[in-house]
Amino acid sequence: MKRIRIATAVLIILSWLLTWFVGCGHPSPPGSFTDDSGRVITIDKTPERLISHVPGITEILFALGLGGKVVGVSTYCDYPPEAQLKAKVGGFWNPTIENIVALSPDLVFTMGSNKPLMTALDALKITYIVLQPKDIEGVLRDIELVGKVTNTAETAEKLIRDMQERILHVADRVKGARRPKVFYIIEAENLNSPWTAGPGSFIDSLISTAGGENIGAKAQAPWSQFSIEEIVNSDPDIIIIPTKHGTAFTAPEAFKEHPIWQKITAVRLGRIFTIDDDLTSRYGPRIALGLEEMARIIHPELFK
Amino acid sequence: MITLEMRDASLGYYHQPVLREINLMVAPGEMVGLIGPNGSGKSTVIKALSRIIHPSSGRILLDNRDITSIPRRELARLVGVVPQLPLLPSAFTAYEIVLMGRNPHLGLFQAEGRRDWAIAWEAMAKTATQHLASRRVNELSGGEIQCLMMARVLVQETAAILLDEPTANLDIGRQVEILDLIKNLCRGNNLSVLAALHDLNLASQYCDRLCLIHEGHIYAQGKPAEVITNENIREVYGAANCVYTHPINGLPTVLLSAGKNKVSER
Amino acid sequence: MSFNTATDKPNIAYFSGRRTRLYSILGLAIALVVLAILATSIGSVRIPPMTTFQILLDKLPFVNISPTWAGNIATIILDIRLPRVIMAGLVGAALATAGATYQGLFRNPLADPYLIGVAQGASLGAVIGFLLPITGTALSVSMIPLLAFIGALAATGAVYALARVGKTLPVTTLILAGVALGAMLGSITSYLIISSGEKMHGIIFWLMGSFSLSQWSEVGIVLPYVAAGTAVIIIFARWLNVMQLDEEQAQQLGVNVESLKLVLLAAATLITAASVAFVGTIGFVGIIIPHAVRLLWGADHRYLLPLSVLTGATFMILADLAARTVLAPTEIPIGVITAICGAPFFLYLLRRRRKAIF
Repeated sequence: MKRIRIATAVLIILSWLLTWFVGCGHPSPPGSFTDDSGRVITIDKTPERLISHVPGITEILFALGLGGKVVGVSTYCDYPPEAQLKAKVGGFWNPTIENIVALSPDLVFTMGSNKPLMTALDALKITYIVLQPKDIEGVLRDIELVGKVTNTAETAEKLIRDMQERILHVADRVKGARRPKVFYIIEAENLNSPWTAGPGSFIDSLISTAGGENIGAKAQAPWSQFSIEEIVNSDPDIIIIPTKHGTAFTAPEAFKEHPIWQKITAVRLGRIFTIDDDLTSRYGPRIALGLEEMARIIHPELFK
Repeated sequence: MITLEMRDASLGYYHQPVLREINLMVAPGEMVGLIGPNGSGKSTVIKALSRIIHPSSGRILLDNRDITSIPRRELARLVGVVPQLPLLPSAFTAYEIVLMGRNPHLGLFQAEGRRDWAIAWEAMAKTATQHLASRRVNELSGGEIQCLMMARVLVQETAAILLDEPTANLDIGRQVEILDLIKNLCRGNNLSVLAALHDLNLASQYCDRLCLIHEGHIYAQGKPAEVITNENIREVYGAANCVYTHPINGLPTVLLSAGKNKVSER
Repeated sequence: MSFNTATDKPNIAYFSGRRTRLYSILGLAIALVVLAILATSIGSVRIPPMTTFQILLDKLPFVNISPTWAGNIATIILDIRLPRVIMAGLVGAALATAGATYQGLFRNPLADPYLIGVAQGASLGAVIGFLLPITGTALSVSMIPLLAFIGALAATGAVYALARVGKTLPVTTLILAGVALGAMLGSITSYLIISSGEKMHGIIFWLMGSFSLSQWSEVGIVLPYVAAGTAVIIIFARWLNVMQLDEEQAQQLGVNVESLKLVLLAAATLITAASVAFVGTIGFVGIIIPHAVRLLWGADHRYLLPLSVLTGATFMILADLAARTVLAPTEIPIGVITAICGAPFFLYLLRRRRKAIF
């Protein structure tokens, strides 16, 4: 009697442990997934036809080797070069729903700020996933989610590990180093009140991780204008200007000629640098490159 | 046939009284003339009788019914107004403006029909305005517009007609035409007619009774001969020695003589 | 006495004008249907017209055509293009009718449907809807039209309350109050937009107006409002004619001016709010289409209103067609198209027919 009871108990424990090992781990399709907007999406089988109208997400898809399954991209998705050969579904903020439907996608990747688009996709019963990372960690989580949803979890894991290595490498090197004051110019049509990356913004986290002090963090919102007075008050050591296809959003010369900007430390010492906008504003695999580039700019002495 | 009556009515705009304790009556078949100096309140009386403004005290009655108890559309079938300076939308033709007079007779879902068109056409014949039918109103002269207003009130087929300076812009030939038309209608259809008139002679010739307004009150009321007297004209208008008797019909006539009608002391 | 036969009617502009207008209404209505079908067959995805006709015909009762087309092609025609074309027609009709009504009500050729705060209220509501954080439910996604609608009605209500004097509604006060409140709401909206960060682009695109994401559910909401509001306004067309005289004369001709103002104001505001709530503020249509109709067919509201409905719908469907085909697959905001195409055409009309239109 006693032996049977022990055997039953062991069996139960063993089978429980078994389910733990089998049932646990990353669910692959079919399954339910929660995206960045809190929506729960159910996927029946591995999606074969993918559409992404967000350049950063397109880069993720190609990086995970899903280039062959991508059937539609936006006109802004230009990296990697193969993406430019894909069918276009419109702009970034205004994709053409017709073209999306014509491509018969199994899964559409989108950003969360386009609510009317989401309503339309719901009405047409097209499955979509919202990715909206707030910081570097968020990007890594998104890559993991994309991996699970498209059944490329292993490749995703590799990519994430690679990115984490590079991120940690940067973070370690800059630990303890003095943090120079950095001012990131998002847009400066009016040099007296440029737009910068405020607290809680993605670029703010990049700058911090790269070992800099983002003076934009004193602003009110993640995307805000900064007054020239405050810039003089903070006196940044480094100015970073994003470029698109090689052209800077604001010419560095403009600062040297401006009577007030001239006196800022960064301008006096000629420490105005440019960075490829795609590396800092596309929330995809190249974020790691962006971080490294920024670290090189902020701490040239630590990174060659 | 209706009787218009104002009992102890005080009228004004935005608490500024213009007329006080007016007692006035117009019976069917009667043409009453409203005379008085500029700004004396003749237009105000007409507005009150068509319920554009409300008396601050006293009552206005139509056949002993308080005017405020009569719905707007019914009132428009009883009382028609010929305005002095009407604002007219320039894109409409004369015929369309006259046809608007049929509005009180049409329900919300009705449109003008053959009968309405014929009535309007007929009215324009009576007022000699048929040749203007296709012209836009912004191309018409002041006199032509006045005749058009006359046609419109005919089309309205009301029991009472209020006229605010109906002959101000007309030449003497047309003045006589229009006033003859009004007088005949008044007698023939037993209409109650109240006309604010500038011209004392026309008032005297055409009106059965006159009502002289001065400084917010009715200064005199009665037959033309009783109202248009030298004393009254001097007191109210400030013009002396100008009332004579018409050689043919004996009605009072005002004749002016350059330099001779100034009042000696005031 | 009455006109008995056709020969009795005098040969004046009134009667010849009637005939022209009635035929025009009929002609335009037919042209509109044809245009709608054509517009459904054109888009950024190439679909042969024959296929479109078959797909549409198949939807008629008692007609059954075995499909030779792919399922998603039918989806494009029936679930994307058709509701879009219908929405464009509805909104065009609504804005043109509302514009004509406001112009008649205020007796002012510069009046447009956005005069007393509808657009500003709707924009503010929509921007608030955009800025609300996304929650998991689908309800939050459709908050934008709902908030825009509420905003539009609230703004107009406020303007009405501010402008009312006792039992009357002086027209000038209404316009001034509308302009002032509109300016205030507009500046609040601008501030919110500037502080919206990365959502700014999406918000601005929406505010400029677009039919690109119209669906049947939206058509189902807008259609009853527009149909009911337009019907009410057309019923009062003859009174609106009489209102073109000054208010005194109109009252003396039996029109209850204050009630009429309220009814027409409410109806016109409702149809404008319903349109703006779903597609953003599209300019130009509300002010210019009624004038174009007046130039061609005269100012009698009994024809002006139905013709504005038809002309507005036609114009908007054409504009939407241009918006989605000229730079396909990118879409041009429809407000840009309506102004660029509409303005020169209207100026041409103005030069051709130099006569009073108001």
